[in-house]
Amino acid sequence: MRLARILERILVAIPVMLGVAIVVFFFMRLSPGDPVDLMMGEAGSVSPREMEALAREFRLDEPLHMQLYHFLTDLLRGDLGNSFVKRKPVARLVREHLPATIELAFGALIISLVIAIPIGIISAVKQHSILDRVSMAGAFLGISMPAFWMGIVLILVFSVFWHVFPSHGRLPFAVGLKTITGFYTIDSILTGNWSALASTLKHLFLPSLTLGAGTAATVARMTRSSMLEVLRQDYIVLARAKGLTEYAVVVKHALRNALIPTVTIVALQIGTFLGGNMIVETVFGWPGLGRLVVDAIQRRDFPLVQGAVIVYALTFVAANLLADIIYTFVNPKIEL
Amino acid sequence: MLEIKNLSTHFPTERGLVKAVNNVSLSLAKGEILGLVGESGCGKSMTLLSILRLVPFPGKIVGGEVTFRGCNLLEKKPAEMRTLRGQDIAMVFQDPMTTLNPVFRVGEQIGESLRIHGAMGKESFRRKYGENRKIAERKRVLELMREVGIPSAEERYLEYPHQFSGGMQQRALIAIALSCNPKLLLADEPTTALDVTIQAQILSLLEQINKEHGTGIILVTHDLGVAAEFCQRIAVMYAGSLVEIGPTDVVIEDPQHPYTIGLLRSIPKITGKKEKIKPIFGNVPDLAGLAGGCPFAPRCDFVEDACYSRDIPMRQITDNHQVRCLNSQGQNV
Repeated sequence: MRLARILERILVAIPVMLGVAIVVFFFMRLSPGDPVDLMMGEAGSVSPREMEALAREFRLDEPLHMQLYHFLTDLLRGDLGNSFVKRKPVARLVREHLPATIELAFGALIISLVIAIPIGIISAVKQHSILDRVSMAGAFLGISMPAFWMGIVLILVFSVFWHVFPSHGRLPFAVGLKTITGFYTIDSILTGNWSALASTLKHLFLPSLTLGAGTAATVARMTRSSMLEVLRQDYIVLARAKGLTEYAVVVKHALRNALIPTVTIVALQIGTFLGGNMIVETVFGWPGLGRLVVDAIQRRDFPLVQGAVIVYALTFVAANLLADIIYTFVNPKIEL
Repeated sequence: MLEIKNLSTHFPTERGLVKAVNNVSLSLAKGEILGLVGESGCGKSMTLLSILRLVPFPGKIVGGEVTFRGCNLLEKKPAEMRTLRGQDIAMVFQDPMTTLNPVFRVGEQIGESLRIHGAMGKESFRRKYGENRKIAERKRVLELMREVGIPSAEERYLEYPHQFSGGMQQRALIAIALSCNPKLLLADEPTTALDVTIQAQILSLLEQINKEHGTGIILVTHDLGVAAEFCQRIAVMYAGSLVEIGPTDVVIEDPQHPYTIGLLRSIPKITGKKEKIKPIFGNVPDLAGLAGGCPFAPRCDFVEDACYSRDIPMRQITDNHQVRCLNSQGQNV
């Protein structure tokens, strides 16, 4: 039953993906700037014949509808094409950069769950306390601060002034980590390279904090308000009347109910963590998909942008589906 | 078994101090059903919550004694209080739709009290349900569900509250309350949210529990008719104070307090000659602004100047009939 619904949702996603592919195809070609011009500009003086040859190689000399036709038929075969600039298959480039982005998204997710949910709970249980006021003021800051500014301030404070966390990249070359999966945290554990693990986590911290801050703030506020709402409910009085300890009342009976809205928001945020991190990746020089795409857009690298956007769309569709599935698990009243 | 003396629970509010429970004294014998009657907001529910010491913030029990089987509950440590709750004193709530936790299966919620109090490890339960606690707990829960009249218990064990009707939810709540064989059941308007046919079923279920297990019950209701039918004694509350208490037939046949008389007169009768229902005029007073004197005085037909001047003491009319009214005959308690 549930499986059938999930399959149905996946099938519905296919036309969505196709639509995304077509839209991004036209948007790239509508925006001013010609990829051949941009490449040639870097190479210095070139003859018109060379430019024509390049355009032919990229199939840019063909009419628009033929370009679209090639793009879509290739896509259906699972071929995302070759990058104009990097001269590599787009699929491979995406695969190389995706682990960094996923790792960062995971860091942001942990920040917004492991820190924000307990803060929300404690703020609700100890409403009006100092801790409540401080953390809600902090949450307000977290929501209000734009990522580019917060990232720079964090770099300034923790890297430039205090030298606690590195400002840039995933890992220094000197550490020398043998990559297996592309996830540095996993690779360093697999190879038993503990200094690399420590360094990886240090590098991860500031970007994760920057990326997760907004969501963490939202989650903390939301957990708090729904917790306050739930703690007023009759079933909480019943839980106390059963003889449960206050801890069990809060953690078992109240939290399960209070987390229903929170979980949905967080699951939806996973899409944003994966696909909305261009600014954070740029500020922290994080070699992930976001930076790859920003670069590709600037150089009008059509296939790379198209491929990456399709991957983004996929993650969003998957995150939405995940949110819906999780929702049915936390709220027994809802069926998929 | 239960003896409440001068219990007072106050709520500080912005408009002033609300004496939700004001000097209430009452007692309950073993196996007795006592009806606590009064309008909404007169402090009935707060009296029950005060017994369990579960008065919601910012309310506070400010005085009195609640003696349950020889111990003053108000002096007990929080942990001691927790072992009593759900085990010796259980409560059934007013609105079953909101009292069951929506995210847990009903069977799990009924079994929870058993687990908290380690009931399945106790000798009497072990002998009856076997050594394996998990299996024993399930057996006990199914037995409880059948006892309170939940059909096809095996299937409903795994269902969620929203899959239950209101009447079934209230039965489940009663099963929760009964799980550890409590000595005292506090029933807070257990039938108010249910329709009339279900009301009768739930009340007779409570009566049956009372007969079979000898469970003492305090039945809070705003329906004097319900109280008259099921309770051995009736206590009438008004604006936080107890105004009359006595055996059911005495309170019904020979009410002494003008408020009780008014309540009885406002019940429509379907037998005898046609009579116009006589409502009690005026409104329930704002508890925050309550001055001294009888709180019912502004609405009372027999009011005198003296009614406003001082707090009215309880007066003993007969052996077990007490009234808080200057007009009544009898000795001050």
